[in-house]
Amino acid sequence: MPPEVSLINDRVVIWVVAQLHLLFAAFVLGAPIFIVVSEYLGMRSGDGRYERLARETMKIVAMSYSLTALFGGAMTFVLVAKYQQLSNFLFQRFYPVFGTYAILLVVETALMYLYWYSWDALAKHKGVHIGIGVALNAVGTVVMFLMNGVGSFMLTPPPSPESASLWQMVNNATWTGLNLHRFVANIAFGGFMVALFAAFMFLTSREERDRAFYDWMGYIGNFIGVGALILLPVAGYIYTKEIFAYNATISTLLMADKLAWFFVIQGVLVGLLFLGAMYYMWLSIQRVQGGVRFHSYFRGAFWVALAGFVVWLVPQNFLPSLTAEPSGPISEVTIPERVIFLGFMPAKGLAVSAMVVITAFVYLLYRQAISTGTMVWGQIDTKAQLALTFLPGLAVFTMAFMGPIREMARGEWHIFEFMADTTQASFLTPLGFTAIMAGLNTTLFFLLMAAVFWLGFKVSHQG
Amino acid sequence: MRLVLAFGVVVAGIWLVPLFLTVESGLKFGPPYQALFTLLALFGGLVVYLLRAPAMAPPKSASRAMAGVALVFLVTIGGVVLLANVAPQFAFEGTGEAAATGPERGRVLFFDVKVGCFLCHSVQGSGGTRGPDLTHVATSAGSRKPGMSAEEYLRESLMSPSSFVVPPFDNIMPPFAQRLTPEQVGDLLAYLQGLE
Repeated sequence: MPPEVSLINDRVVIWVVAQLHLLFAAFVLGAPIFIVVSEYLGMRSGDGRYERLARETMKIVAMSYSLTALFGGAMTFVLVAKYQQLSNFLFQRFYPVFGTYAILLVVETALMYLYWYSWDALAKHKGVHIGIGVALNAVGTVVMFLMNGVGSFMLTPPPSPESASLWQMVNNATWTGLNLHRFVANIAFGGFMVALFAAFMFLTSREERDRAFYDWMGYIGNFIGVGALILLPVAGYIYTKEIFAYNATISTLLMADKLAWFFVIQGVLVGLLFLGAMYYMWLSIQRVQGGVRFHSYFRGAFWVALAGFVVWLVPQNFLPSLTAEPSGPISEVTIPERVIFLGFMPAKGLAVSAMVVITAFVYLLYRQAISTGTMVWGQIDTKAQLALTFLPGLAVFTMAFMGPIREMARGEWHIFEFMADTTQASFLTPLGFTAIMAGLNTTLFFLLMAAVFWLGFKVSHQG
Repeated sequence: MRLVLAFGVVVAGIWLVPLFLTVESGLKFGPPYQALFTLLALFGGLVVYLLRAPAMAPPKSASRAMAGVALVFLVTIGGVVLLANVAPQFAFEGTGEAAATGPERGRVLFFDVKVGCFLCHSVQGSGGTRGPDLTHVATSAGSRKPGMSAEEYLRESLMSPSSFVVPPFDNIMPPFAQRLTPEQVGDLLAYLQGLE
């Protein structure tokens, strides 16, 4: 931290409250998609587990709504109190958007309560209940799109933001990409969080019947999480390409300058997510009768994924920025000439594609094994449940780490090349500090979720 | 045992092979890369171990289950935070207008895509080769044109680059008189004059 700036400064405060707001918002947006799909599958298949899965998850979502609103309010308070120039401009220019947002938020909350409290009353009218759930998701998605309009505007505003129309400001160069990226990410996040609850309940359950259910619940959560995770790099690529097309200066900062090493760490995170998901499937297939015939394919897939992981992580250099001077010979901290291609985007793209394709391949093998063998629910290696706790921890950290990168891409601007950020705590935070902040926010999020979870599951079960 | 042996062979290869290579071979990785590859080899070993590991029994109590979940969380998040802290770090850098000095602002301008100096000129290996290398330009600028100081020469090169073109380079540099403010010119000159 620069000496003239205290450790707890405006930047750090807005960072924590905004990040917690976004994490809870992602959960209450992602999980209901999962819940409604689960309820629908329950109705279609007659399998009561889907109904139970939907209902138990919705209990957590209902309680998380209030925390989302709490941190949203805190974020607005800090913005208005400490970033008046920016908040004044945004509230004035986006007034219709914020007005619509407030109205839809009330509608969304009403739908959420209606959906939750009408579960028993509409038990014989499942179609109506599911319809309420679909409406809840539709409104929630529109709410997210509205705020994405404001957030993406700050990074990629149209020319002359003061005279641009409201639609030009909302439908800016990266609105579509951000909408797509967050929508897919929220589904993955929702799936992995459900898997986390299931894993915890599995590990603490004593009844075989409960274990069988939570084992199945974890399987479904991971199934949804991995399905969305496979699509996520594509969505991320589209979003990043939109940023690059908007302004090449941002791309230099992101990929070649100060934030380049942030993307190496992002590679570690996303690579671990893919490998973790594959490891869960590997352990899960062990209890499928006849699953052994797929083992050699799985092992081969792990080697391909590991090779992709290595290529993804090989950096062009070990310098923190484009202008940094190495303390020793430059040849020691830059990639050797004959293998320089490993540091370029085509190699990285190929490596990521290999990981995505091989995970999809493992996913299909896993489905094949389940459909042709007999799955014994509840009899799974404990390591599989720990893998299901590893994935959401990493997913939340990845979100908490990538968010600051998107914010820092604006450099010294509140609104890129339009409104400068001249506040005292305006600086790019180094990689280590950013990771510590992401770790702090991730820990706070899980502590709060643990409290919600404890109230929702353990206390109510005891009651 | 076989796993440990294989890991040892890989790590030995990572550290010993470069001893027999020269930089000119274009294949010699430096110590930071060797450390990264060692870490990746360790991770690969962990994956192989986990694929072979026997099944783990369920925890005997809820508190042990909690401890297991907490441990996974701490190792995962702590490990990534640690990795991010040993990776290359830039210093906290104020982006407010008063935060940077003239030469620092000049360096930022030099590597700014919109200004574009680095697209043709390089400093200490970073940048293009269509124009002269400026790594020691503060030293060479004073003797380029008789009777002209380093600052005068650099200013002229910036504002009216065709006045003197360093052989064997082509006269391709555009004048920057209309592209930069007087303050930016001053910052850029301050940066270039520090390149001794």
